Amino acid sequence: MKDPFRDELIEALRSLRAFARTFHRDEARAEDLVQETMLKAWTKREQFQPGSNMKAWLFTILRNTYLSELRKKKREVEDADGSLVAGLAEKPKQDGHMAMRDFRNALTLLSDDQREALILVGASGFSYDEAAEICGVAAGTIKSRVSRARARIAELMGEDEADGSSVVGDDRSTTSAVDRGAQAI
Amino acid sequence: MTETSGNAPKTRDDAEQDPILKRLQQVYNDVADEPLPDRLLDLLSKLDEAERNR
Repeated sequence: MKDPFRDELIEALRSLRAFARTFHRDEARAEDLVQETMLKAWTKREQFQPGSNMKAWLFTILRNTYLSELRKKKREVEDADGSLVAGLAEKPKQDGHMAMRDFRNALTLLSDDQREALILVGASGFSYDEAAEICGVAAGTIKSRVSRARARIAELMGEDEADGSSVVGDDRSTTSAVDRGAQAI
Repeated sequence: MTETSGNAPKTRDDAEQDPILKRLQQVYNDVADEPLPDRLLDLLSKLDEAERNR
């Protein structure tokens, strides 16, 4: 039986998982968030306008789910495992480069708003307008968050990287602010 | 996905020229490129089944 809703949902799931990991360092908790989002989306499927942007719709649900869990949790205890510092600092096995580790750490040092805007626009492939819709702010706000995020990362990574001469695969150690940040994590 | 506004950074193509975007997408795609976990696919089958039995 053909179910376009289901097909579109599956297509968006990979991105949704990547987005969830920017909220939770812990993989299992990120997966829980994706499942919860899927269940909610399925329950609310009548509210989805066929032909509109399924991925943006799912991202919005995931984000709202995360934020409401966070509010609930904040009432109970302080963020005990520090998951607010996003899942990005976790170094995956295949990624041994110093430059990439510095980059992941730099991401965790951004404000939540800036990191989210940068990821939605720079990695998830949303336009400024779509990202604005997902976050419930103006497109101009997303633009300025993205540009501040970029400026901050450039600053953290050190000016020697600004010309792009050392992209990935650079094993040299730096004494940038990122190293200080990494010790704090 | 098409760009609907202004000069938002594009995806994989533009990233070649931009070390920040390139790394950002690498971090993101490390997860996005993984196969979907069984748990998720199982849940989907259950939802499908529930839908058929409605």
